Amino acid sequence: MALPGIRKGPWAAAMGASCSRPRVMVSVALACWLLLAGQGAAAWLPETLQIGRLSLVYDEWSVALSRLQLERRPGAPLALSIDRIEGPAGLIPLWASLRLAPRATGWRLDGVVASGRGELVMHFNGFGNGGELHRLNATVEPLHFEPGALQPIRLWSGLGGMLRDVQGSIGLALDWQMGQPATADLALDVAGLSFDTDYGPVGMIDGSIRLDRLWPPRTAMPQWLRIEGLDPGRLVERLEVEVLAIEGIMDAEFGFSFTEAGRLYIEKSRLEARGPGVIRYRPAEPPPLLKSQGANVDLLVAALADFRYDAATATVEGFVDGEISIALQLQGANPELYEGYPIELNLGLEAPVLGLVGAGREAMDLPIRLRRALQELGR
Amino acid sequence: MTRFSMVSCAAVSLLILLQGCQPTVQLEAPKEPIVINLNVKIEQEVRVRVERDLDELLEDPELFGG
Repeated sequence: MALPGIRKGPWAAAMGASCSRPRVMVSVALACWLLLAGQGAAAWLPETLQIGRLSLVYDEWSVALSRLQLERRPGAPLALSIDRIEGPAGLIPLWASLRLAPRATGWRLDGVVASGRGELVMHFNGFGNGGELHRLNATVEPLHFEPGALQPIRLWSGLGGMLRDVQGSIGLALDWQMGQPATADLALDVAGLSFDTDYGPVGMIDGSIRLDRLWPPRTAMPQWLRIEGLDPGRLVERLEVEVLAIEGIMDAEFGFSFTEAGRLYIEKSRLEARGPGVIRYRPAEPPPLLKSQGANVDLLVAALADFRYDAATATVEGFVDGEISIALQLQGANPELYEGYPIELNLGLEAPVLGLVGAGREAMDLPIRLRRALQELGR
Repeated sequence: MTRFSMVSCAAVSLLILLQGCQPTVQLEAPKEPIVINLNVKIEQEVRVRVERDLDELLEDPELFGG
């Protein structure tokens, strides 16, 4: 059925103005405006208002709302329903329903946003005054992922094949309050989450993450997650480090916090091998960085040519966008070296890991850039 | 005491003494492993310099016509 439409231009422009304040939910702003209008000046508004389609654009974000319906009955809360919310890009289409009722001062809202088949359901309530939201509570019902059933890619196609065979559950709750500054309590609960990636499987993640400010994110105290079943061998394989091969599975106690400025800091996190494993590092010659370390390097390289470890631990600490310290401790032996005499390796590494990864990516583009340059030369 | 008896007593005493001092040979591998300590600090400037050099090379008009 064709719904009566409203000319898109002026509405889109009006909603654009509301969107310039991201903290105010668009739908709330629209309903709130009508609620206020209903209290006085705009008695000309109909009891039921239907809008066929409304496009909202904010910077690079765009959202299309289809079949909006507003009902304004005397003595009843203002009801807004939206049959379909599409966007931002890749997000599963949603529908929404909310009730807005006047309070002694301002208004109160209750509502739900959900996907068509109920994969994603968020309940929310809050109150505000005029066009401002003062407090918002939102709860996302736990998402239960299972291979062959719900997968994150169904919720957001932008993930592509990044996460596969996802299993486990994630729940989210938010309590946000306006103020100077605004306060928030965001709790993300992860239980028995496991998945496969191009960089190796992640066996199981358990823990809870709490933020006390949404943006820039901030944590009141270090957050810890237990991550099981990491496979560094797959990571090395994926990164195509031909001189290195690793066998063995590791578990981690991973801690992090966001500082006042929103910087991500890795607390002293610990990785530990689940059992014995093997490291084979066979460079054509020792890396230049190690050459200054003297005779130790020759022995180290000889040991790592086929190092069978019984125990392996690593601690990681530092700012993700800065210098990260990694301390690696291996206990084992190389059967071909000193007849398998026990060796203990203590390796300390300090590096701007994120910067190196970025530089590494650029370096991986080198062949492409060279090819392009040569093609240009040939024209 | 006859001369024979004296010699016998001395021999027996010597044997007892020697038995008490019998050396024990034990083969035991040292328990401490070989320990290798190594600390490395990686500076990003190395990569950045290579990138910069390459960019200059790609923009070299003599090689790639600018």
